[in-house]
Amino acid sequence: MRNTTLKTSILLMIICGLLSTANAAVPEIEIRGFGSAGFIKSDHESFYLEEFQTNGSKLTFSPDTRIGLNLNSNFSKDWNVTAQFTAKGDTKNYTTFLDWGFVSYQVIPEIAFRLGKVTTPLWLYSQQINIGYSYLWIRPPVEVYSLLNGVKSLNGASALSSFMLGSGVLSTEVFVGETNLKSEGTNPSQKQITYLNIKDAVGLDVSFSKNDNWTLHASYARAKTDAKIESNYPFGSGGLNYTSVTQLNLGSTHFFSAGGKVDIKNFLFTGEFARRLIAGQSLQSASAWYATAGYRFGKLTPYYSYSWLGSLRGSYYIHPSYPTVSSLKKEQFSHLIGLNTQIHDSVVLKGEIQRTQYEFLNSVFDFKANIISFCVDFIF
Amino acid sequence: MVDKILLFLFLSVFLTQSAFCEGIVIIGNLPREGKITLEEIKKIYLENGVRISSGQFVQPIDYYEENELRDEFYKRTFEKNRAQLKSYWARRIFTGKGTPPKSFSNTKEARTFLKSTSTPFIMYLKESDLEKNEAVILKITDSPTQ
Repeated sequence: MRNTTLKTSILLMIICGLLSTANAAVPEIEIRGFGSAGFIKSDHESFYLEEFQTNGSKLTFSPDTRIGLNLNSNFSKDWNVTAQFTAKGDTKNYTTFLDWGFVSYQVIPEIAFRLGKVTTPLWLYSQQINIGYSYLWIRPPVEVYSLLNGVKSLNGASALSSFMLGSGVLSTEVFVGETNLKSEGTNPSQKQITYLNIKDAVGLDVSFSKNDNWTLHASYARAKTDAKIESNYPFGSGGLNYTSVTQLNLGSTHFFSAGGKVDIKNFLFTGEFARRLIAGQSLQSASAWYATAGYRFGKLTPYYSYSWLGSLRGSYYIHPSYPTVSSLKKEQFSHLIGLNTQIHDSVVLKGEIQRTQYEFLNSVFDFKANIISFCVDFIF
Repeated sequence: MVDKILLFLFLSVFLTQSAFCEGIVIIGNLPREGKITLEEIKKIYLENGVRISSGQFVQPIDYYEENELRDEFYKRTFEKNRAQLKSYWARRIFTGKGTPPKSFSNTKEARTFLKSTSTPFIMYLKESDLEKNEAVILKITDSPTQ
């Protein structure tokens, strides 16, 4: 933590230094924003939305409700500072966090270097996961995007390039860095906090697109990961609590994803395959994919999506009501139909009905959940 | 009664068509000779500047939203309406990958900027607004291209 604070201080000093050496005129700051207001309801008590750390059958507004601001300033021809903040709900309250923020130096128009809290383009939509307005669904398929474990940015650096290649544009991004993440479990009978320390992360993203009609994308990243799990649960009948701390050295974690999207003549298709592999921890290795198809009828776009999550020997997710080894999840898949309605140039209304099946090592724990969601996404 | 319904349907279809039917032309201040293809024009606008085959890095000049000419240009060139374009730039801006082109209120302001800079830029305007000394780089027809 001290190390991270030091690095943040160094970064701020660099930014201040650059600002002081820039033109004496105050640089213009562009401010843009985005937001989403949604609710979700399930018919099953054990329904669990991993990326959003929410569960249960009660009506909830928190997973899909958020608001954010994007600040951008070019303080010289080649230097730029940009930052994005989001306020978002979790299981208990709203928190505001820095999505990303970096200083960028444009070496030539096609090549740029970034330093700060840089985005990680691991999946096709991972950089825009908070910007509901920018994609078709209410939320990207949870089966795939839960593999990210919340890794959306790194404290580090990245190098970006973008060149015309044939009839399209080839873009690459190399990134290095580290980050710390904290997540809280949702089991009401057992308080569990997981701290993830991701270090020595390095990754490469390559994408090729043609006029926004179609895009192909592939990325690979690896990192060293340590985890600390603090559990607190009732012990006996005397009101006593038992606390345990488990320290895990997960070793090397590898992420790989490949996917694409097509938007031609009102037909929309998108699909991705993603794999997370943790050396020596097969229980936490997982694969996932999804395929979505839609058709745009003017301002209405109905769509269907199928997504699947599975792994070689199970997943880290344990049934919230029966936290035993035999309740380790084996597979999860969803069918989803939705309607995306453009009600204004800057506002989109979405509704989705989803049926998700959860399968565990012991099939006794299997269950299905029907989930209904509505959301309004906007930008300003 | 049937006549009135047919007239209503005809007018509905007619009035929902774009009232904009004249040519759109691309002009620029490119210092080096060389053609710019439609594909390059598309990339210049969607990437907010690219290096074209002649080796020049060319940037676009655009208009603010709710400009009829802008709507028609993107409809003809990319088959994108205003909302789709907004969604495209939202993806670029909020992922830190880019910002929209430099924009102006009207052709007069855009042309003034074009004439004032030595950096290679291109802009689009109605064919009827073309001045005598301006050379057309490309004419955008009214048939959408993919």
